[in-house]
Formats: sequence, C-alpha cells, structure tokens
Amino acid sequence: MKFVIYLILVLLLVPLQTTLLPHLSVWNVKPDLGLVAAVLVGLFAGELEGLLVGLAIGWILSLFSAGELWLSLLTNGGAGLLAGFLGRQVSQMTSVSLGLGLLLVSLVSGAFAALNFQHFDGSQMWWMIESIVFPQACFDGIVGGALYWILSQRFDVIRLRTE
Amino acid sequence: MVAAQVIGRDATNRYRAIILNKGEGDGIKPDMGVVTPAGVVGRVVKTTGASSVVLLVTDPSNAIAGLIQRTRDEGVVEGTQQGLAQMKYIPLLSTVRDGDRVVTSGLVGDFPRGLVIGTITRIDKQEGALFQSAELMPEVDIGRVEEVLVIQTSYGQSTKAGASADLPGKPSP
Repeated sequence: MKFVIYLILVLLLVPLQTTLLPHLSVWNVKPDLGLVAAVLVGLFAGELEGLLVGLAIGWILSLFSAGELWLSLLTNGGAGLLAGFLGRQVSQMTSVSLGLGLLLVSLVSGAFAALNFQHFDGSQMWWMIESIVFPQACFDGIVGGALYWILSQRFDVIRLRTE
Repeated sequence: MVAAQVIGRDATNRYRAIILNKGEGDGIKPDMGVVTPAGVVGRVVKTTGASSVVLLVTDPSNAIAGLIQRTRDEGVVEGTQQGLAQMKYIPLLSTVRDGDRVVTSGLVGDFPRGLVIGTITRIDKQEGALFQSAELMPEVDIGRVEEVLVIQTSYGQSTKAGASADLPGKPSP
C-alpha cells in the first residue's frame, strides 16, 4: 500500500513541477516540490524511505530537466536521508521549525548545484544564489511548512511520525 | 523535421528549458536543433521515449554558432542571466551596429545556415579586449512558444547523406 502511495506521489510530482508550477511561479522562481516531498517522507517515514523516495523523485525529475542526474539524485536523496535523521532527533516539530529546516536544506542543495556550474564565474554564481537559490529556498520553506501545518490539522502528526 | 508541442518547463529553476511531447520514439536525439518559423528556440539536451528537454537559446549554458547577417562576422551566441542572449567573440574590426540581425552560421552543431537567432540591441566594446560582444533580443518569444519544429538532420549530415545517396546510382569503377 505504501509503495503505491509513494508511486502516485512520485508520478504526480512530474506534471505538478513541470506543467502547473511554471504558471504559479513568482519572478520566474517556483518551489521544488520534489525536495519538499522527499523531506516530508523522510520526516514521517524515516531515513531509509526518505532516501529511497528522494532518489526516485530525483531520478524522475531529472528526466524532465536539463540538469545532471547525479546532482538531482544527490540533492533529493540526501534531503530525504537528512530529514529522516533530523526527524528522530527533534521531539517538538512545528511547521515553522520544519519550514526553517527546509529553507536551510534547499539553500545548501541549491548552493551546491550553483557551484557545479563550472563555466560560471564568481559574479554569475552569486547572481544565481541571490536570484534563484535563495528565493527558491524561501519558497520551499513556506510550502513545506504549510503542508506540515495542513497535515497537523488533519492528522495526529506525532503518532504518524512515531509509527 | 518533426513538429512537437511544448508540454512543460524545466523541473528546476536553474535552467531555461522546455519539455516537448516528442522523444526518441519519434526520432529525436540529443543535440538536434529546435526552431519555430520565427527563428531558433534552442537544442535538445535530453530525451526519453516520449518526451525531450530543449535547452533554450537564452540559457547561459547554451552556445550556438552565429553569424551577423550584414557584416558576415561570426561569433558564439550564449544566453544571459537576464533571459536574453549575447554574441561573443565578434572581431574588433567588425562594423556591427544595433539592429543587425544574427543568424546561425551552420558551421557547428545541428542548425542549418541562415536561421534567425535574434537582433542586436547593444554593443559591448571594452578597451583592451580582443573581441567585442553584443546583446541580442531573441527573435522567438521564448516565454510563449507552444509549438516547435525539431531539425532531425543537421546541415552537415544532410550533405553527407546526399553525397552517399548518389553513390549507389554511380557505376563502380
């Protein structure tokens, strides 16, 4: 059952991320729903499932991006794994703390991706961090925090996390 | 050429790319050029069975061999951070000016010669530099493109194909 849910989640992310979100982007920046989903799965289901779902998301989204496969696998899989580890250390998770955590994870993965642009000089890299990576990290934090808040309103998230 | 529809944009924010509804199954391969009747859109960088990713001419990672139509000076057209394009490596002695049209040179890559890339809007000539560069306004409105044509046979390949197609008819020595 869980496998089917994850499969639907991964498949649903593709049209959302590539077709719907570009119409809802602000200043041509859209949130990375793949990263948000990987973090939420890692948080609720543990590091192993976070890693596997993150890798699956990274792989499928890289098919629809001009970016490198390994980078997509590393950022999404790594975010799921990290969220799983951190989720076990933090006892009182709130939507704000999750949002801030996601902002940091997105910022680190975005900065790592920007460093991977080898033909970029210092000013171009800074431009990318300033105008793409940072706004996207803010977006990811807000979307992740909002999703967690919605989940916490409808379900007992503490029970979900300990199950 | 294969006609294709734009079904999405790059899944990340880091690249300016579009997704087409045609892929390997329709004969599309990486590095093929993508155009509209107005001009150059970009080139295919990735394909799956039924879709392909096209890196736009406005992406800083993209580079296309260009030619200034009036002066016949060659250069490389790359995307800029602002979502426009720039032509680099224009010779210092070139008489390029605003309003000049830039077309594909056909020398490198999978674009035939003479497809419109854009119009020069600003010349950047720095003192002591070996070359000058120019900012281009792409001819195609990249943000609104809905249908494109993928060039399946490159200029060089078609010439070779034409040459080899003649061979069977010729008498063997």
